[in-house]
Order: sequence, then C-alpha cells, then structure tokens
Amino acid sequence: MLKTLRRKTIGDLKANWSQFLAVWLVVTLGTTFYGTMYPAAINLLDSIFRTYDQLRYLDFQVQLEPVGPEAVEPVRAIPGVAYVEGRLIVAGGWQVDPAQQYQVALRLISLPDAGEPDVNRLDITGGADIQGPGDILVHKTFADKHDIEPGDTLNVAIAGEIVPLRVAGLVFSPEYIVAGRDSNDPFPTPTVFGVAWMRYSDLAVRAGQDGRINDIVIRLEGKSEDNKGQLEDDVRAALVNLFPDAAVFSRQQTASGSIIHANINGNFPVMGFYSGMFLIGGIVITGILLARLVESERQRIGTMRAMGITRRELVLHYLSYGFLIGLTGGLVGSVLGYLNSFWFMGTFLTYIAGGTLPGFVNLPQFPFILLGLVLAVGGATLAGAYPAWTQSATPPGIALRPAAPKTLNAISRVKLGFLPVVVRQAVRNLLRSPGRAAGTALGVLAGSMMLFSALALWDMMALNFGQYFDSTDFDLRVDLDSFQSGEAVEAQMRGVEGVEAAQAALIGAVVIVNPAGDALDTIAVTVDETDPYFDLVTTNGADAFSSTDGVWIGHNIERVLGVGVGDTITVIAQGIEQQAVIRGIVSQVIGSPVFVPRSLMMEWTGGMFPVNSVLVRVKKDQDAAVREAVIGLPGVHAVTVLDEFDDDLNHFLQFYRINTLMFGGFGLILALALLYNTVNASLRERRDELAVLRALGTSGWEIGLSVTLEFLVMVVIGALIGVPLGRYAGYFLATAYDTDYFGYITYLAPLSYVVGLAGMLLVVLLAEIPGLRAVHKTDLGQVSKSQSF
Amino acid sequence: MSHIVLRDVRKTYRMGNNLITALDGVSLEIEAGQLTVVLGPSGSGKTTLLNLLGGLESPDSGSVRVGDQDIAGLKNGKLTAYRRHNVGFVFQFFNLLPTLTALENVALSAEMADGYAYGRAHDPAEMLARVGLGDRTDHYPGQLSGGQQQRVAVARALAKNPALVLADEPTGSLDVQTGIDVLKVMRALNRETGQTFVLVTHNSAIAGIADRVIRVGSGKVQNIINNPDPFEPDEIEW
Repeated sequence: MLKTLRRKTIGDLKANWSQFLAVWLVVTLGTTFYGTMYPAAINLLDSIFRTYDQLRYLDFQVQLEPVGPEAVEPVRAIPGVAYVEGRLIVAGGWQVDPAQQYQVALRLISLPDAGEPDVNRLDITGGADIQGPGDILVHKTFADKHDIEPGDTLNVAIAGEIVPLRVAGLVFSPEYIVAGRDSNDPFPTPTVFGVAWMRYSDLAVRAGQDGRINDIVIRLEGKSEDNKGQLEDDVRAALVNLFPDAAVFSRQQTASGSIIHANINGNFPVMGFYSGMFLIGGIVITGILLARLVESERQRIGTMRAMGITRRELVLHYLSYGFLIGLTGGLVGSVLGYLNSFWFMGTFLTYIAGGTLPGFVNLPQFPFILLGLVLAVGGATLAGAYPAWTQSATPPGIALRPAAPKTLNAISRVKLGFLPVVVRQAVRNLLRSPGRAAGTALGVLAGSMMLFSALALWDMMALNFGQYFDSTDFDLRVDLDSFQSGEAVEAQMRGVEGVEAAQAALIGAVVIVNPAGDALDTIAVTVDETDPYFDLVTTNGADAFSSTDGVWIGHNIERVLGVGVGDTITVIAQGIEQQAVIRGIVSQVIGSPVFVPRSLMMEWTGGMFPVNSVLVRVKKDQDAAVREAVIGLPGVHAVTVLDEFDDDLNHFLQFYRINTLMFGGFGLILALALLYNTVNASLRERRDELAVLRALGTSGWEIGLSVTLEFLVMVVIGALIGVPLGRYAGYFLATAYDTDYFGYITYLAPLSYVVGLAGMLLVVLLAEIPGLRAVHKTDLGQVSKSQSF
Repeated sequence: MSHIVLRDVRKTYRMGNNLITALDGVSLEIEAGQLTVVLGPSGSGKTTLLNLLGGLESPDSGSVRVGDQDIAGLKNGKLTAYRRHNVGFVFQFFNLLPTLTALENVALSAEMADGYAYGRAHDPAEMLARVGLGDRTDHYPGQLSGGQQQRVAVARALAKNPALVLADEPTGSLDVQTGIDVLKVMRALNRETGQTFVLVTHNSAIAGIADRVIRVGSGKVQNIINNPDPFEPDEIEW
C-alpha cells in the first residue's frame, strides 16, 4: 500500500474514531461472547467428565431389597464392568435443634470399612477422613447451607434412635453434584435434604442391617467421554437379568446425573447457538457498518481513482480498516472471552455444584479461539474490502458526481405528493437507497432475533417455574411412614395448633405405559378432586380434577410418551395395572407426575383410600411451629416446608436465570450497538444533506420526524421477521434441556413483545440524538459554500 | 505538435428511460505545452470532454489520442495507469482528502507517480511552496480557505509532474481574487514546466489567458480560437 494511504488510514481512524470505535466494539463484543459460551460449555463438560473419572462415578445403580454382600459378585463377572461397590443406604434424619423433634432428611451411605470405595469416591474438601466409629463425612453443599463444620456433632436419627455423630470432614461426591433425592425430585433442596457417609460396620450395626446391602453401584470400563452405547445396553440387560425385582438406573437416570446430562445436552446447542450468533452477528454488523463508511467515501474514492490509484490499492487501503478492527477486536475479544468463561463456569460451580468441582479445568480452546479470530479478522477485512471493491468499480467520472438513485425507475418515480413532506422525505430516502435500507433491516433482524430468543428463554423459565411454584396450594407436606386412613390423618392434622386445613394424599411410584408399550417410571399423586390442594394450570383438555373418570398428566409425560388428551394409558403400581383415560395435560416443568382423582383411585382399590402423605395449610407465620408439632405425631416420617423447598429451588435456578440474563443482555447490547451504529452512520452520511434542508427552512423537528419515520420503517421490517425467528430459536433452544423429567412449555409473554420492541425503538430514538445534534450544529454558511465531500 | 487529438468522439448517458448525448461527434486537437480553455455553458459537454481526456470515462465511439496512445479503447487497468502516470487533476470542489494534511495530499500524488511520470515527481513541500503555501504544510483541508485548498489541489496535480493537467472549473467555487491567484499559479507553472494544461470553465473571462480556446455547446465543438497574445491572469476582468 502507498505510504501516504497508510497515513490516510490512520488519519481516517483518528477523524472518525467514534464510528470506528463503535464498529470495533461490535467485533470485540461478538468475539468476546463467542469465546465465552461454547468454550465454557466444552470446559464444563470436560470438568465434569474429569471429576467423574477421578472419583469413579457410577455408570449404573441398582436399588434393591436388602441382600447379602455376595450379591455384587455376579455383577463383577459382567463383561465391561470395571468396578463394583455394594452399599447400604439408610434414610435418616438430622435433629437440627436438640430441643426440637424436627429432623432434616439425611441420607446415610456406607463406605468400605477400610480404604476408598471402588465406585463413587469422595473428595474431602474440609476436615479429615473418618477416624473411627461415630464419625461421618457430610456433603459440602448441605453443610454450607446449615453452617456445619468439621468437628461439629450432629444428632442423627438412625432406625428410630438419635445418636450423636461427629463430623470428621466435608466432602464432594460425584453422585451428588446436584444433590437431589431422586430422578422425580432431582433438584437440590439442602434445606430439607442432605447426605452423609459412614463406615459400613458403623452404619449397618446402628441401622440393624449388619451383613446386608441395598444398593449396588457399577462403573464400566473406559472413560466418561467414551461412547458406550452398546456396552451400556448389554450391562443393563445383564443387571435386569440378575436383579429382576430391583430398580436399575443408568447414570443419566439418577438425580444428579439426569440434571447434569440435561445441562450438557442443553448447554451445547444453546452455547453453540449464541456463540455463532454473536460472532456472525458481529461480522454482519461490521460488514454493514463498514459498507456504510466506504459508501460515504464514494467521492473520495472517485478522486483517488482519478488520480490514478488502482483498485487493488484502494481495496488494500479500505480493507486495512477492517483488518485493523478485526485483528485488534478479535484479539481483545478472544482474551476477554476466555476470562469471561471463568465467570460463566463460576455460576455453574456456585449455583449447581455447590462451589466445588475437583476436576475443574478451563483451558483456552485454541482451535475454537483461532477459528473465531480468523473469522473476526477475515470477516471484518472482507467487510471493508468488498464495498471498496464494488465502489471502486464505478468509473471515477461517475463517482465524482453525487450518487444517483439506485432504485428501479418506476419505484424511484413513484408520486408521493399526497404525503406530508416529512413522510415523503423518509420514503424517498428508503427508495433512494434500498440496499442501505435492507442492510439496516437485516441488522435489526439479527438483533431482534438474539433479543427475542433470550426473552423467550426467560419467559419460559418464568412461566414454567412460576406455574410450578404456584401449583401447590399448601404450606407443608407431611410424609407418613406407612399407609393410613385418609380421614383419620386429616383429623389428626387439623387438631394441631396453627393448622388451617389438611388434605390426605396418596403419592407414590408408578409406571405409566402408553398404547405403544413405552413405559416411564414416575409418580402418581391422588387427592380429593372436590377440593384439590393443587392449583394446576391445564394446557390442554379439561380443567384439572374437573371429572372423576380419568387422569391428568404433566406435560413432560405428553412429550416423552407421545400421548394426549383422550388417549388411554396404563398405570402400574405395586404390580396392579389400571387403564386410565387422559382428560387433560397440566403444566409441571419438574417431574412427570400423573394426577389421579380420589374417586377414581377408590374405584381402582375397591373403595379404599390409603394415604401416605398429608398436605397441610398453615396459619400465617406458623410454619416452624406446626412443623415441630407435626413431626412429633406418631407415624410421621418427614415434614417439608414448601417455602424452604422453593427457596432451595430458586437458588439452584439462579444459574439458568443468570445465563438467560447474560444471553439476553449480550443480545441486547449487540442489537442496540447495531441500531445505534446504523442510525449514526446513516445520519453521518446525510449530515450535509440534512443541513441543506435546515438551510432551506426545514425545522429540526421536521428533520427529526422524517429521520425517525425512516428508521421506524426499517425497524418494523427487521422486527417482523426477526421477532418470530427469535421466538422460535428460543423455543428450539429450550427443548435442548428436555429430559424425561424436565421440560419447558414454550412461551413468549405479550409483555416481552412490548418491552423488546419498545427497547429497540428507544435505542433508535436515542441513537438519533448525536447525529441530529451534529446536524443542528452544522455551520449552515459553510454548507452553502461546499460540497458534501 | 498536437499533444491531444480527438476524432469523432461520441458519449451518451442513460438517465432512466432517457438517453442524453453529452458529446456528439467531437473532433479537436490540443497542442503540447499550451494552456487550453474549453468554454461552454452548463450541460454543454465540457466536463464530459475533460473526463474523456483524463481517462475518467471512455467514449462510446471515436478516438482519443494522447501523445502516441489512443486511450479510447483502454480497459480499466490501463486507464488507471494512464491517469496515474500522465494526468493531474484539479477539481472545482478541490476534492482534497480531509484526513491528510496539505503536504500529505500532495505527497500522495508524488508518491504514486514517482519514477514513472513525465519526469521525476516534484518534492511535495517544494510544490506547496511554489503555490504559496509553504507555511501551511501541516494544515488539514478543513483548516484552509477555499483558495488555499484549490492551490493545494493544483500542487497535488502537478506534484507528479504529469504531461497533462486537467482542471474542471478550477475557479468555480472561489472568489474573484482567489480565482485569479489560482490561475496565476497555473499559468506560471504551465510556462515553467511546459506541461499541457486544459481548463474547463463556463466563465468566458478566463478564456483570455488561454493559448487556445475551444468553445463547445450541445455536445459539439462550436469554434476554436487561437490566442497568440493571451492576457495575464491579473488582467482578467469578470
């Protein structure tokens, strides 16, 4: 390139620094977000797999009635099985306050009497290993929630006895990265549920189960990242054959495994989509903006061509803008993206994994980063070069004259005299430069797509979890340790001070089978249909509990089993099969419950209604007192305060909220940067033209109105396509998180349309201010003396 | 000796559905080393004629011979090389590059042509001094008056020492005295360097300083007048 043209590049950058800075920011932001999302997902997956492998996380879990430890031996013989561990799991409770009877559910899991377990090893994050009988290791997330520290003594209920146990250490377990109870209740609720580990002999003796195990965990050969499809199928078949009456769960069917799996499945498309969108969006925006800049140099290009500067030299000159912007923006964005990925992964650690992940790794994903850099540099360079190449093709004699309208003759000559002058001016400007208008509309389209996909994700989360939280119309759930008469327990509960009302319920494990024979393990909830303590939102079919001749299923069952309103399903519980017609679909983002009217259940059971739970409504601020009173009642196994459960769940959901906010925020920033730049560039391009209008007596208000109308048309065109596309992109991304027990109902709130579009319009108006101010400040005397050049 | 020879040159433009004839069978000769003025009213085709001489556009038919080269049929790349090495332009609205200083604007032209042009390119600073702007080298176009900008444009056109200098209404956007100053510079340089100057103007007063005046109208040459005793620019009255 000619030396003086290099100086011109620098001079142009200095003279138009705000324009170039805006483009640079777009490239930098695009590359930053690109470098944050997908690499973070890769590292997250890698971290999880490393953790799984380091601590030998199970591939299969078999839950069975207590058997002798020799039950593990045939499992060892299954081809492909690397490690097997027989365990005893005991449902215990922690008496938080020795003066009170209330207990937090504490699951006690046995460890070998010596050494580490072969499967599901623990990582001690605080304190020490078990020193002897009476010592336990406590799950770190649970300990943090309750301020439990090594050395503390917990009063733990085991087999009806309260025993003091010393906390030797706090641990991380790959089995409880997400410390949910089971696949139907997979989200962590550390307020009411915790896990602790003891040596086998210590636990078995205290639980009266010496010489027995009730849980077998199996790890297959190979690494977590390996595809073990056929091996898993074979091992599962072998396990089912060995233990026909036991429940066999794959890793992805355990509570933690299912949530982590859903995260992995969900994160990759979402992160990939956003990474791609941000980078491509950034490049497209850069292209549009640089094209504007180069287009505004038309007469300068004509002059340089007249002077004898070749097209190649011109292209080199203008691509240097793009190259410099792409290189510096790409480099800065790549570094920022990598740093930002720590923050992103940090939210996963904090809200999902409880603050620790032994296999944590966040390596720079160099091939991905390099690809981003190449695309940023290449894209931005081409974005500068292409318009220069096309502009320089104009014969200099033509380029030196003001640009003629590019529209078809018929369009450019449309008579608009019937329109007010401000509207006429806006329409003329659009028709005069349809390429520019289309570019702006394209940018608005990309921006609105990003914005509305994020809004859709946010709305789906708000709607689904809102309906989930609102679906329970009671304050406490009381679980009984055996089936009891519904009327008797209701009366018993109503007699407790502070209880407003109570409703007996039957909540238990069932298998649902669709007409095609596909089965799903889930739970059924049976309550009095005349006054159900569930406020369910019906998405399809008859209102929940509006009749007694059928059942209502959660929307996840509808998706997983492919059944709908009017279909007949088979409900299997404790070996008894019943046919039931689906009367409606209800919103239940978590789990896949089937709701059964009490009358129908009584038909099935021959007039009986045995219950194992009571749903209790409590007078204001009486939760703790009632819980304490209820826990002391005979036959009560556990009490869950719904508000505490909701708090735990909300804490867990922060990860998704923050992510969605980040997607939406970044999409918003890019969309707004695009709108701002487009408006600015367009006004800059026509600054003198608008100043001439002012000189001719057009008021600032009329100019502002005309310009606003012009941009509004482009925003409307872009949004008309971008909003539906963004909405469906959001819906598509939401389905990436689907599992058998989790899934969103797709939704975009009317308010989001209003807020999103209003935000876009607001930015257009704000972006006009500097340009219009510049027009206002233009020396009209100078305008009359000079060309726009 | 004729430096430039045009034979039966036609040039038309399509404006929507209309075909505008800018030049309609123009034939003329311009002597080497002379200052020639092409005179005509707006729309007469004089700027088109200048563009054809400068290789900014190509004719639809006819020949445009500059020196020993017919540029009428040259392709884009050859035309660019022709302009780069043979032609200096002065535009009505100066067309300086606003982000380059006066010196850099001139240097760009010199740098492009250095080693290839009619003679070796001139020193940019020296050229600026010769147009009376030796103390304005670091000023940007926006910091210069119209007359000063046009003198920078003249320095830029001449810096590469071209065989042919073309000026399109060089005084069109200047006041009388500034216009005279610019013409003085051009006349002096024409005499000093022996380069061929072609000035296009609608201002008949300027015609007095030319060695030859070509009057055009409606796309045709109406007459050509040789002026053996041109005025000095100072003597112009308009």
